[in-house]
Amino acid sequence: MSTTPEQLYNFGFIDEDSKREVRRQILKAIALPGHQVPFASRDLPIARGWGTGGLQITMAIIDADDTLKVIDQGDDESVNAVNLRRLLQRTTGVTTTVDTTAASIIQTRHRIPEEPMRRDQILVLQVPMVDPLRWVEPNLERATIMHGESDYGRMWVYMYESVVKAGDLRIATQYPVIVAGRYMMDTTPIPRWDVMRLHNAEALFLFGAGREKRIYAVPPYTTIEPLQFEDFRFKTEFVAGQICARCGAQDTFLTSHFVVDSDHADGGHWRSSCSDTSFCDKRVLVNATTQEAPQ
Amino acid sequence: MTTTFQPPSLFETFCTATFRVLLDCMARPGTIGQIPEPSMFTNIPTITIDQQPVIANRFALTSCLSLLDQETRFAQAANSSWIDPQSDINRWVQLRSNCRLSDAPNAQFVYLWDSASSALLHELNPGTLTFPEQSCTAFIAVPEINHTEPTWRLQGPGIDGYCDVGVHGVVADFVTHINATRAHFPLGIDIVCIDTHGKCLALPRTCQISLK
Repeated sequence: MSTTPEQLYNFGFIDEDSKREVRRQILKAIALPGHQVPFASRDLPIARGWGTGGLQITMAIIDADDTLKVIDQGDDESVNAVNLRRLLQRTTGVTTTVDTTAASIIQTRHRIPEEPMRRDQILVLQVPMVDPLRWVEPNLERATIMHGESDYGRMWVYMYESVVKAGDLRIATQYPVIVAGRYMMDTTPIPRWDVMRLHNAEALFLFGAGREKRIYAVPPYTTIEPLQFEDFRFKTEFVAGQICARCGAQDTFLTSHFVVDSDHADGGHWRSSCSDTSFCDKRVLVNATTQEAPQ
Repeated sequence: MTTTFQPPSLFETFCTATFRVLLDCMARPGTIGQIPEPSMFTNIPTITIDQQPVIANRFALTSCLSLLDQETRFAQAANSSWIDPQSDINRWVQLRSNCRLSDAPNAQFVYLWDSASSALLHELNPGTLTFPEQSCTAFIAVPEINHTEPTWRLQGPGIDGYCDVGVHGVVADFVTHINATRAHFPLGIDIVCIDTHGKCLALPRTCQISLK
């Protein structure tokens, strides 16, 4: 505990009434899988658009005996992840971890961890753009009515036009899905790789958009159907023969970064490695120990 | 690393722990959660039904109270009739939560003292197609919930296939009243049943109930 009273924040930073409001909206979001529930996104010491939606959900649900993991694009060590984790740790005192299997709450931006999540874990996703209909209907009021009436015809036309113009479904991230046969939901910028991992999962997924002031949820064992056509199916980013340069995994979502190398003609080369750094580190460690062990 | 937070009060700890139980139960209908003991609440006023004093289910009433604040409208009913907003029990809840007392169609949270009061569920706000989240949430006190003697079969999001659960000592048309509130998804009332030992069963509007 700090010694000067003016430095003391409420447990979890936001005040109890703010928590209660977020909690009430989370319960409604779970009862309406995929439906966007408005909430009064509070001011935080982090600018809106930098994870404040996910942060407020975590602050509203976190308890003193939780173990917290925060990732940004699968990475535990990026600036955004480190800052959010430190804010939560200092205002709650909870244990933090980088190990997916040890965490009870995982706050994430743009990834679902590679390791399967269990029923005692909650994944909190930070959402930049909530409404999949934004592409076809920028007016929020009209889009809300379209959701209410399940009026998704224009979105299907958009998908069709994408096929006609580009020869394939050319949506990279934020792939639209239908949740539990009713609401169309934006999957946040999780890659297509992760979309089907929301389907009939064991863990609870909570989505928070601080800038757009919306909360939505996918409960466990809920059907997720990506928008697709019979002849143009939903596909992930998987490329046959892909491999992580660090751990050698062939079935993970990879990110690439440029490695400067003066010998190389282009001044360097691209290198691919697992986006989930905690999972990659574990595999590197296992590889090292099995190689050291006597054959 | 320095920590800069006040230790939460007993009530705040209760609210968070209760919410996590409600969250788990709501996300996984059929799961029976345990509401923590609301030890900070004593002297809950009794009400009178047929000249007999009736004690509230402290777990059900206080877990509903844990979600109330000045932005919420609350009502409660016992023995199939709404309790007067000026009564002791309503004033008690208002004093501890700062909620506004309301009539049934405008209430966002209701506490039903018994399963017989489920006959009043049709009076509650089911939300609108544009704003289904504005619907009412009902906390209902029931005598006993268990997994050992199942009476209901639940299906829907949050359930792997189906889940059997036993809700005992309730009126015969309890399920009929609950199912009537969810005939027009996404409109509907979300329901939390809590028994006398604090065992909690959530029935979000997505949950379909059939008798075994």
